[in-house]
Amino acid sequence: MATVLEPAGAPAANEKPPAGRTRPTTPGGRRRHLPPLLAISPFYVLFAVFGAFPILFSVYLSFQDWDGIGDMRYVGFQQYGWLLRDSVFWHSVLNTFEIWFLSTVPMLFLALVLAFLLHSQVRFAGAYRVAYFVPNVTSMVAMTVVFGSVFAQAGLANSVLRAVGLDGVGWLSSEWGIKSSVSIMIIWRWVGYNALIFLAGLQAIPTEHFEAARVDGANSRQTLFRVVLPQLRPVVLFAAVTSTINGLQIFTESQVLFQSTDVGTTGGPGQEGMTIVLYLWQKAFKEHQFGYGAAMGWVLFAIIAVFTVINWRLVAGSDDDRRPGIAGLLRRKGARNGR
Amino acid sequence: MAVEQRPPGNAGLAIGSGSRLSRCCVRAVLLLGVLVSLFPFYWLVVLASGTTQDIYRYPPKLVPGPHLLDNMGRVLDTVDFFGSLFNTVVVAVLGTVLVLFFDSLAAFAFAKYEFPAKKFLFGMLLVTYMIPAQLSLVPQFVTMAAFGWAGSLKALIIPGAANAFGIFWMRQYAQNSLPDELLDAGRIDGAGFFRLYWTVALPLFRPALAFLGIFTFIGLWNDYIWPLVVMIDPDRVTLQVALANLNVLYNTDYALVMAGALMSVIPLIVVFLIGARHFLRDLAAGAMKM
Amino acid sequence: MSRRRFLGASLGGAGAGLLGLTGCGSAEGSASAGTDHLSLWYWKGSLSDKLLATARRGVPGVPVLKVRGSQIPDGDIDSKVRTSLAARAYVPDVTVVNNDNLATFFPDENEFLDLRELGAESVRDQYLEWKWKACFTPTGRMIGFPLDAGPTALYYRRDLFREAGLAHEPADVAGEMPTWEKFIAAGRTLRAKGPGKPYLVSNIGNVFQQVLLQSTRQFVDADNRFIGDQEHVRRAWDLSVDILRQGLSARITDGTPDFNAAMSGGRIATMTTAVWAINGLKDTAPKTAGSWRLTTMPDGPANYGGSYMTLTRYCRDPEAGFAFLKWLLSPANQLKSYQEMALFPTTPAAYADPAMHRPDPFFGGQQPIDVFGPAARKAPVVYFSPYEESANTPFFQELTNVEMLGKNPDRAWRDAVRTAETTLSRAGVS
Repeated sequence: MATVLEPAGAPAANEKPPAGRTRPTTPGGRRRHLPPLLAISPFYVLFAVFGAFPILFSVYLSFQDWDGIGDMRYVGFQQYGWLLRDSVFWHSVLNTFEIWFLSTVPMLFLALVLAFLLHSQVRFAGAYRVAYFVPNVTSMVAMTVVFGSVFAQAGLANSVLRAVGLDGVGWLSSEWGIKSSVSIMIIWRWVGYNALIFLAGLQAIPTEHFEAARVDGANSRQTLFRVVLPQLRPVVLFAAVTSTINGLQIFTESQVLFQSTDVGTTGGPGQEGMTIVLYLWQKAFKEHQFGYGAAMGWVLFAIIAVFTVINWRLVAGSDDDRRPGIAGLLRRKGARNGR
Repeated sequence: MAVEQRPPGNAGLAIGSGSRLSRCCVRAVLLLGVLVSLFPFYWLVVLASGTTQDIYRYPPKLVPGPHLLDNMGRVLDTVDFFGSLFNTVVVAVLGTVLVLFFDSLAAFAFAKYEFPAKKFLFGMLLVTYMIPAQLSLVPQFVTMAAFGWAGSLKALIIPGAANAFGIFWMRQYAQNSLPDELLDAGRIDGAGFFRLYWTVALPLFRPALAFLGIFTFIGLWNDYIWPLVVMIDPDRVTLQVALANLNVLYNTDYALVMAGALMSVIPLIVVFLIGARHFLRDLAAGAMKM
Repeated sequence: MSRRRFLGASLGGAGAGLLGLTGCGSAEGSASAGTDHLSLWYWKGSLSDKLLATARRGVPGVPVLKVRGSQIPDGDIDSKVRTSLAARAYVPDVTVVNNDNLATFFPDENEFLDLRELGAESVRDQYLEWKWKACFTPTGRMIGFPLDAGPTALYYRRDLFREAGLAHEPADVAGEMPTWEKFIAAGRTLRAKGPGKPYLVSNIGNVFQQVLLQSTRQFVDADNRFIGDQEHVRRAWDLSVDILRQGLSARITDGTPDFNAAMSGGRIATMTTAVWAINGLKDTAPKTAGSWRLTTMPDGPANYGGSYMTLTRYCRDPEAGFAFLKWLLSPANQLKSYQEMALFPTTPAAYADPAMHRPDPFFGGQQPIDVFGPAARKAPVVYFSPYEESANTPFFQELTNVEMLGKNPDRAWRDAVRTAETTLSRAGVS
């Protein structure tokens, strides 16, 4: 936390130092503080109105039964009670974690491999980067539509399987098919992004480390495991943290993939593609159970908070000289949350 | 940014730096990766330029067909494509401009000025990061409804007009790239806070603004769940929501849906390709250290 | 404690205050506020495109009344209407509501105008008795206006039936397959002897739906009791599972690209659905024109879907809104809607019109009215509770689990009953 909260640069007192200690309390001193306070105020005003108020309001809402149209009815902790006994909710929690695991592990591995290869490849580096990053900037809605056709029973994926003499897979109609399809979309979208982050990490490793290893007579494998991976560990952990936070909020892929069918809002056959946020959206904006939706938001928050803490512990454990710090983590998290 | 410049003579990893054969392997795998990365776009073009019947032919048709313009024309006939495009552009451009302005202004203040409760306020800013947006999806909608903003583009632009990520990121940048001497020189000329911001700080922020700008623009352009919830007027939606609607309404006409999908991704890819060089360099730099 | 209560009270107050800001003037919330037309929400296929094009220019006979329609995906329209009602903004003046869902709006009946106050009684005798009655809430307000009816039939591929050696002319098929059991037996023959071994049905959910609608009782009765665990539902369940067990279902979700491919490719030999599906079928599988036929559904007809129109309380001009309904849903225009969109009239006067009796080349020159006309007369009148959807959703979902994921049918049944009971107990239904 120290990296973050350190005062904003020591020479920040570059304002002409006040003559007397009492100066800041005089009206003139206060007026002096007005411009910077004014400058930072938009964020706090917007946050108060569109961030803090809704959050506090959602506490209140989670104790009500309300469809948004009629009157609110106070129900105490009943929404939470129902939520804890709601098998679909727990199913959605499980699905979310399964999809998260199925996507994050291969994604980080592939990103690492790509980063190593990019690191050793000097020519066309810029072109590779652009090509790997493009999936990340395209709309998920459009690409989910494309993947939806690829994974259809008679779609491209099964055509390829047929061409090599295998049976088709129920990509959108079986438990693991659905989870794999969603995971593949996530992997496709994020591998390049993470590879570029890892590449930056690799390039930041000082050359002396390699030379020292060479002097010690280490072969390339030893170099990889003794020098490179330990140095990369913090970056990889950050990628894991952000993948967790994003993974727990999967929505678009599952929603768009099954939206055009009768079972549309429910995450596909068996609700195997139902994620936490999709369920929240369904309860709140398809079935208009606003109180239930608010309660679910808090449970989601609790889950994310627990994982964030666990991840922080992991990150804090890797306290070596090249640790990018919590600041880096925050930057990355914000970066991927987008809005 | 320094990370971008590879020290000369640093062979980096031992991997692939050896024989010509292994170099070849590296290149092959990298190219395979590029293929996988770009194939869905190619496939989108194939689907959008064929007929609905082509899509489920076995063996599949792997080259683009002649119907691209047809299909795109039909998209224009069935949905208000340009209307949605216009809404999306308005949201992305205005939203980005506001974010750049408010974030850089606040960052300037945090980086170069002292004021009461600064540490507390900055700490609070960081804490707001930790709150997932979906937590308050319901109350945010209720708030928008109460303001009478539901269904209006304001609901997509204003709430995110200043964000913690941008302020934090710009502040880091300002600390490292804005020399105090310049500010002092400005002060001697009698410039106040806002003049200094506008004439001294802002020009120096340009690289950081470029990154944050593209970043914000992409995020606003592609946002889906919030417009889906809050844009309650079916005649005024963003491109993403319009495409999702097209996908449901015309699910028997796949060529049409694909043409719509293609049209919705082209503008953003163009924007990205224009800014790609700066953006990717800053992204990598931002991830490591400032 | 007192502090917490204070916090809660003040937050609640703030929230209520915020809502109060826009809660009053109702015409303000109309989607057409500030325009010269009324707004209408409908889904593709629920209204005649030609008549809507006319209404957009001006409703004939009503000076300066224009109506502009917006297409909403049919699965979304109810929730979109509710969302706009919750926001008190962009509420459509006029909207279409699907048959079984009208009742889900009964608890919020005050959000809709009582059409009797606008003079609905004056046209009452033009409409089907049962359809008219279904427009009323339990408190006696008329919030719906009859749009179309949904008599059902067995759609089948004559060519596939013939090549499998089955009866294949409509009258013969009806005679040979009077029950679902016989229908399933025919499915076995199709699968064994038909060209390309076609499936009997695309999925079993459709059969489940139709068997249910052949019963007057659904999942919740008029006394708000859950009856979904009883024999009439169980029979529909068992028949559906039997079709699956015998390998007669293609296990494809309707409306997916796979469904379209299977229909075009002759992989599916029958559909059990309503008259309004005709246009969808023609769009989905244009190449199969001429090979389809219609006949009475096994165990007799049902009414599946068919819709209502409503005016919301935000309607800017209720008189004009009602004049539009009277015009759009008049016997003459219902006739036009049938010809164009296969929307079955709820105005019996239209049935005798020669225009209703045109042969349809898609069905080999058969007159669809010959099947759907009698079906409309014989279909049982079904009671739908406001909680119908909450109660039946788990059953449809669990049936999908059985079909797509191979879940044990008995376990799925128990899970469905349990989920439905839990959901309903939250809504106050026992």
